[in-house]
Amino acid sequence: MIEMGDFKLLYAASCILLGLVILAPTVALVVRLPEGERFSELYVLGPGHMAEGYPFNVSVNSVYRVFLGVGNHMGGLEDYVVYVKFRNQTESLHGDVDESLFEYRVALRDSDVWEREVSFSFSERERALVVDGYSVAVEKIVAWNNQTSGFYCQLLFELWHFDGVSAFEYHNRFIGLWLNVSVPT
Amino acid sequence: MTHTWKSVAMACAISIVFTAVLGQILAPQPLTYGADDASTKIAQADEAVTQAFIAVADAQQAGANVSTLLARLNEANAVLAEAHTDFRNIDYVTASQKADQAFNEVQGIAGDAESLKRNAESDSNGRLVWTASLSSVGLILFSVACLLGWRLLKRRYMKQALETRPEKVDQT
Repeated sequence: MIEMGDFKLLYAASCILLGLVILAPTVALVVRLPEGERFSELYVLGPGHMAEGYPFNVSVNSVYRVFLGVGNHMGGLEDYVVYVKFRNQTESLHGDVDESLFEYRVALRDSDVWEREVSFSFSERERALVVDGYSVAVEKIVAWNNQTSGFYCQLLFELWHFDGVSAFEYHNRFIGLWLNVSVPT
Repeated sequence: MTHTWKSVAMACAISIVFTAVLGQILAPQPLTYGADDASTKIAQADEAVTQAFIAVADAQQAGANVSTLLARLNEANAVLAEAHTDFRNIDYVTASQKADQAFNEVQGIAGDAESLKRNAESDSNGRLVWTASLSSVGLILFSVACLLGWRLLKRRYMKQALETRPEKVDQT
């Protein structure tokens, strides 16, 4: 037969455990459990909505399409800006905001994902890059690349987010699509 | 006769001058926004959208449902992005117009967010008080039940222990 002392201990432990279960709803409202890793995602998918088939050999007056997406996993509401830039092989990767040609702004709740189709083309007549119907004059000198035998430019998507006080800051995420612009028209 | 013609000519001249002046006043003025005007308007719109975002973020953190406000904010965000792009394209008129549009679209968002935040905080406090009260009552009832249960179990335990105790045999 179980000892009286052991029995008392077992009973007290059971009571305390059940008491904690009764208190759990109140505790859950007050205590914040540690959250997981906080991050934002930036992605570009090809025209088939897959990570393949990205535009590479481009020519003037043809329209190319990709899907641009931003996901928020920062644990709260976030305000994002995606800057679209166009650079040659010698220009710095992360320059000034003023170098951007186009931008997308979106505020997202935690776990929300924003995605849209982005179209771009090169207009010969206007000598411009046309992004989502916006014609932006581009004056770039593209040097011949001896290693890969071609002229290459990069369409760059940079993710910035609101710093919570007054300004947007670079969020250390970018995606660049290399474009071979040496294809004859 | 000459005097009449003079009067008519004078009246016509006055009418023409009056019409010209009136036309000048009432004619729609062409929009002539410069870079500075556009830049100022965009800065104002930026500030308004930022303040609206901060207010919506605060409301959401307080537990409010901000879906509608977020949709309005994102509409303004899209227009503001276009304003920035137009400004870079040196289309200051369109940039100014879109900045104005974005500015107008976020008007009232901060106020609505503040109201939602207050309601959410009030609901949250009410929920906390209600849950804490229920838990307290539940805990008190449970404690009483535990004590009564302990008494009952202790009595049964003792009874069982006495029944199983070996009886003393009288040798005499």
